[in-house]
Amino acid sequence: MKIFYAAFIGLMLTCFWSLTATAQSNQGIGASDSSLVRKEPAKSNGTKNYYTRVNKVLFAGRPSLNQLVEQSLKFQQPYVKWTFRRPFTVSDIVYRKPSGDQMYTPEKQIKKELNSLLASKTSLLKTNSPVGSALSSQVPGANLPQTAIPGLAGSNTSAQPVTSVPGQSSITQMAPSSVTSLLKPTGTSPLNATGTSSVVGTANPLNNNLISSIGANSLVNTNALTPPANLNAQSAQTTANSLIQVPSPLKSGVPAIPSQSVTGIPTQFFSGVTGSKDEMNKMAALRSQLLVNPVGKGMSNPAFASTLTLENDLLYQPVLGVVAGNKFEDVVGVKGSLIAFGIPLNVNFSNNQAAFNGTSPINNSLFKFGFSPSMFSGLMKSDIQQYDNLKNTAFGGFNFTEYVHQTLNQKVSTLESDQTHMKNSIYADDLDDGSKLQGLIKLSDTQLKEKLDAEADQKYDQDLKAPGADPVAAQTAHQQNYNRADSIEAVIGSIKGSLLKNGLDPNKLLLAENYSTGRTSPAFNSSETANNMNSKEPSNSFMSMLSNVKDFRFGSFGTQVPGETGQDTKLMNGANLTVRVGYYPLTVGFGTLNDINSLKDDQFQSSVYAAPKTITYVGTEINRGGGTGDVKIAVVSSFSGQSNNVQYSAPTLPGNAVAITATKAVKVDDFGNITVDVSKSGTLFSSNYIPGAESVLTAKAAGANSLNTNLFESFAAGFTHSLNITSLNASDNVYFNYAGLGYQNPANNGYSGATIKYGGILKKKLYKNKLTLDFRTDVRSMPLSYVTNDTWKNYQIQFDSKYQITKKFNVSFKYIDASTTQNMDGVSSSIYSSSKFELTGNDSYKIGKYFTTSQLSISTQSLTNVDASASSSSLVNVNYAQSVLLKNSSITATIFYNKELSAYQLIGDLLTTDLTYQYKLFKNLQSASGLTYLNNTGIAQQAGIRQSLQFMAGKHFDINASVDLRKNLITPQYADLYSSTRGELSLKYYFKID
Amino acid sequence: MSKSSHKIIIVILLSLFYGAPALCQVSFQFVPEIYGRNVNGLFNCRINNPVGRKTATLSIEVTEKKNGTIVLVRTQPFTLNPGSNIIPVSAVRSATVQYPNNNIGVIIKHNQDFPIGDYEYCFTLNFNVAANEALAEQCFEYELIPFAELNLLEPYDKDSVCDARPMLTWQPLLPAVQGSYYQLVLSEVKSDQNAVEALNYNLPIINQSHLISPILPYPAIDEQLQEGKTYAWQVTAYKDQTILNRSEVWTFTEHCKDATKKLDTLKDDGYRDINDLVRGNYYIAVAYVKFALINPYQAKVLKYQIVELNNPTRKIGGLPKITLINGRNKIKIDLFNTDSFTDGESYILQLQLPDGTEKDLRFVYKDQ
Repeated sequence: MKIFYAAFIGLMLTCFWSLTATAQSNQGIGASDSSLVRKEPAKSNGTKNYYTRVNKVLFAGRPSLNQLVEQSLKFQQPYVKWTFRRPFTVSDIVYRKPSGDQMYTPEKQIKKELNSLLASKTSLLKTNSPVGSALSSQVPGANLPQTAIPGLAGSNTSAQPVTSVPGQSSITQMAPSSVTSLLKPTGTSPLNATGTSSVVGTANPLNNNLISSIGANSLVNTNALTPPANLNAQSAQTTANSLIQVPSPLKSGVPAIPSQSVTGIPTQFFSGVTGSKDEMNKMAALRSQLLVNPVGKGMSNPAFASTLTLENDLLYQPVLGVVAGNKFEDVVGVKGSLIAFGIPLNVNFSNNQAAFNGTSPINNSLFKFGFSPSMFSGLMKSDIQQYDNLKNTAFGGFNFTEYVHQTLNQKVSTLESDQTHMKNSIYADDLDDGSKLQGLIKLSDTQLKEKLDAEADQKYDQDLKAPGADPVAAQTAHQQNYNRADSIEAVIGSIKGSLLKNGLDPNKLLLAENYSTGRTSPAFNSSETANNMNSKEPSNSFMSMLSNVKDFRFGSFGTQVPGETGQDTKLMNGANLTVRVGYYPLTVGFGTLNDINSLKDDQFQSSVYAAPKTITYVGTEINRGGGTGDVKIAVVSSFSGQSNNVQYSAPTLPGNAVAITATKAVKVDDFGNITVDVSKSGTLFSSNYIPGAESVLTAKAAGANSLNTNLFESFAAGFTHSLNITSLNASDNVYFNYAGLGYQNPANNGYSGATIKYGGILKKKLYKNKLTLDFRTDVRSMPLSYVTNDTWKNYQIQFDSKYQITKKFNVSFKYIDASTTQNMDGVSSSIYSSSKFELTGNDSYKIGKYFTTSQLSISTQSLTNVDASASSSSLVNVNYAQSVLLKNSSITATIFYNKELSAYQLIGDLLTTDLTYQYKLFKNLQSASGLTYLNNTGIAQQAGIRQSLQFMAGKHFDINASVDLRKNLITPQYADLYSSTRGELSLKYYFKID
Repeated sequence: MSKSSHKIIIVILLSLFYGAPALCQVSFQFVPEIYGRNVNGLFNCRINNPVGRKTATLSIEVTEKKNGTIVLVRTQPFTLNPGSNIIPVSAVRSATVQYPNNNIGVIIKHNQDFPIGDYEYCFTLNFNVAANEALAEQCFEYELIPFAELNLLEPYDKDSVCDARPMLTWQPLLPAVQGSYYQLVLSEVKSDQNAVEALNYNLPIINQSHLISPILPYPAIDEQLQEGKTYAWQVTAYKDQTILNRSEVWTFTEHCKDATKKLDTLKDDGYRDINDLVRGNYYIAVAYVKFALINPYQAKVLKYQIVELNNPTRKIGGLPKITLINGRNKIKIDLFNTDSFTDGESYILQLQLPDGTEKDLRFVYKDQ
């Protein structure tokens, strides 16, 4: 048996470790920036007396372009995250003092370095380039557009990420010197002489924040389980992004008006970034890798995703083994949420100890599935949200049109044998102009071919007609144009094809793009179509059916059966479904209620408290117009009888009971919330019940009236009121329930009639929250007799007050009183009563330089139980705990002492002490070691040690282990109360599948 | 042989002959204290059949001294094997049940629980003709008082407790039953679970049976409760293997971190640059001194001290240690919990900036 346990644990451990490895290797795109932090600098390049940090990666000296590109690719980001536009700022550079104790003011030095660096790489900035002028106007917040997506509160995900893609591939073919000709100088450039440094050298904190936020996590939203709220969290970043929009370079030479920009990527700028031809080639190759077929991931909701915790708790407690003969108890549980085929579910499963108590695990495990409507609505996305998701994942941050443009530029050249630059082709204008390119995308394959061929023909005709035309050259050019047309068609066709294969309509994408970039007409924006694009619509009939489901739970779950009086929830094995039918939500449920369910009930065979029964219920909520609140109506019926539960050995009579309940909740503005419920019960008789016609029955004179006609006696009503008055710093929560003599709610255990229950909680704070008062009470009355007024009366009150004397020292006083009395024949006799006074003080102060807290509580308690003994017992308890915080560890000492003051002893004189030292063994390993001592005079005396370990291996794995060993110094009288060994091992594995 | 010895032998033989049926008499085992509380409990009777298979119908009649017959149950015929028998399910399913036409009968029809009274439970077996036996009858008497609710006392429902090993108290089982014990189960309520599910799904932290007194000091050998977590507990009263009564499921939270008082939310904005602050000559520090500064150097510890204006020689200790990171720093010095500052007094914060320059900030301290 023991070998089995060891093997089982070993197997679980290996499984968890292997799963950890797999899960970690699945983390791919979108790794957080913390992974970018490196300790040693990269390969050095240049002078070694300073370091450069770009996005937390440390380079000795200045990094080369190659190194920067390599970095970005290494971490598999869909686009290069850092920008050339602002390569380095003061805060990016860590200045290491050279040998010697001179104090340098780093700013000047660094500015010099930056300028020289930029000068070599970005010589174009000094020209009158439109990009440069745009850059100079990069005062954050000044006249920059924010293209907000209507319908997405707070998020601004249309903002263009200010990231560069290393130049267009077309640049690679050109010698650096010809780069300057790309950007035609405009007239007067607003670029001022210090334009460069103003962009680069500024230590403007706002800029830093923006840039650092951009450098943070990407906008990629690969986590399908993220509720929409995450978009708001990202909005700060994306807002920042939008502020650094740069006008579109699509129309070369003329800076586009920012509000009409399609994309913020200053591609022309980056075309100006030159390096050696090798560097440029390498960049292009790298970029092509990045762009090759990114369509795929993130295009649709994952079919399966989950966030689950797998937990195994193993307990070794030989004396207290619940199941006879078993010293071990093991519970394996799985809980969390999972999304299967777009349906979000909450799951909880527990093996219920089945492996150890010999019962079948299939019949005896507990599990529940719950459908989560809130998660579900988060998964449904509007058209605009889907487009944004695509943009950020598949299109690498570019809008659709620009993505097509980039791909064309890059791929067309690879398809052609003739390396004529795209810019010089006849199609340049078609492709560079966003709206014309959109037009091309909208055409069908044949139409596109016709159009492009027609343009080629037109050019050919022009060439022939021009003076001094060379027919051969014209012919060659014509053929080249045809080839180019073919290439363009092929590329556009393949893009559209892969989109269609993933269920996306290119035309719809274009519409979404134009809408989200503000290029649709106002008439369209207010149209129904635009509205639909923003609304969350289920994508198919199954989804729309699910959107009507408000609650669905299946399995063994704790629930309050509708119409049930009292606060007790029951564990129901069945199903509960609330679905919106027309205007009303309809609740339907069925299940069995058993008293013996799980591991904790293992020692029991039968129950007198509650017989097993099957219940069904139907309920609905009727909204009475006028906003006075809803009325809930529920009908519950139960069928008691023999269930299939083999643990119940005794048979039970079949019987049916029905109750109908109406509940109304009213919110009265300043007066709080009031809930009223009214219920009436009845019984359906089976044919087994014969009206007492037999002469064998001798009915005595008592109680001649029949109850069936008396309405109030099979009737129950409840009332709750809750109110929070913040101005008075007070709140209350009171309830009142009444049930008539003949009332029986099918779901209640035992007899639920003729009960009156009332009570509540009152809280009040005084003296600027220094004094808090808390008063709770519960009064119940339940019947003993059905014919007389004999009742059990029970009341409990608790009064709690806490006073904060100083910031570190507080005292509290508690008074508890409870009693049960029996009212018989008009005479009330107290059967049980207890009262307790408790005084507690809490203080924190310093011993030397260590913080420490002390807590002392003293209480006296007296109990009287007439049934058990004529005399009452009284106890005094003292509880003291002291905790000292050392540098990385803490020491805690606790003492508990109970003294019996009277002859009738409840637990005897008891002293429990322990001293624990908590410390960190390794980075992830917490340990606590302790000494314990227990002395229960005459009953047990134990001394022992305790050790516990807590290991947190990253974010996937937790192990807790603890061992408590005690030596019995005298033989304990009640061995099962004073166990001498306890060991616990708890393994938790968190895994997430996307 | 003498005539008298013959007589003795005959008498002995006759008495044996007459006594034999007495030895073969069917007997009943029934515990009214546990099972005589409701109609379904009546079927927990065990029938001891010493000899031979018999077929019989069982008739159960419960009478109360003041109110007469409460219930009369007649089962269909069933077989009794030699030895100990339970009443089979099929016999009960098809049994006829009669209640009197009074208040009590009507209520018991609804809920099947017996009220207070002096009861007699009579079990009668009517054998079929072939068995050639007279009926077997046995009656049990019991003064029944229905159980009071088993209420939990401390920690109160939904209360928050500052004791990692609280003492748990509840009301005892009333009326008391000899040989009954309590079982207390306490489990952690994890996320996405309610109290009832927690008790059933999770491995309990305390699962202590065989308790005699309605009070349990937290078992020394069990793990203590942890800060911030919610726990659910329930007490069951049982005898042997039968559950007699259960309490409600109550929850409480372990919460003890009130030593450092938390202030009402202070927004994390308002970090003005230290240079700006210093230029101004009036700054009110409400519980914190907040400012921003830029550190172009590597991470280092900020050197500062605070001096009281009216008492410059007094050294204010216990100030938090502040480490500057490279770049922009938002600094928030917690004066409130340092306990050395008086509301309304003026102080001077003397800072040494990373580049070596010294700055003084004069401020007035306010508690709230």
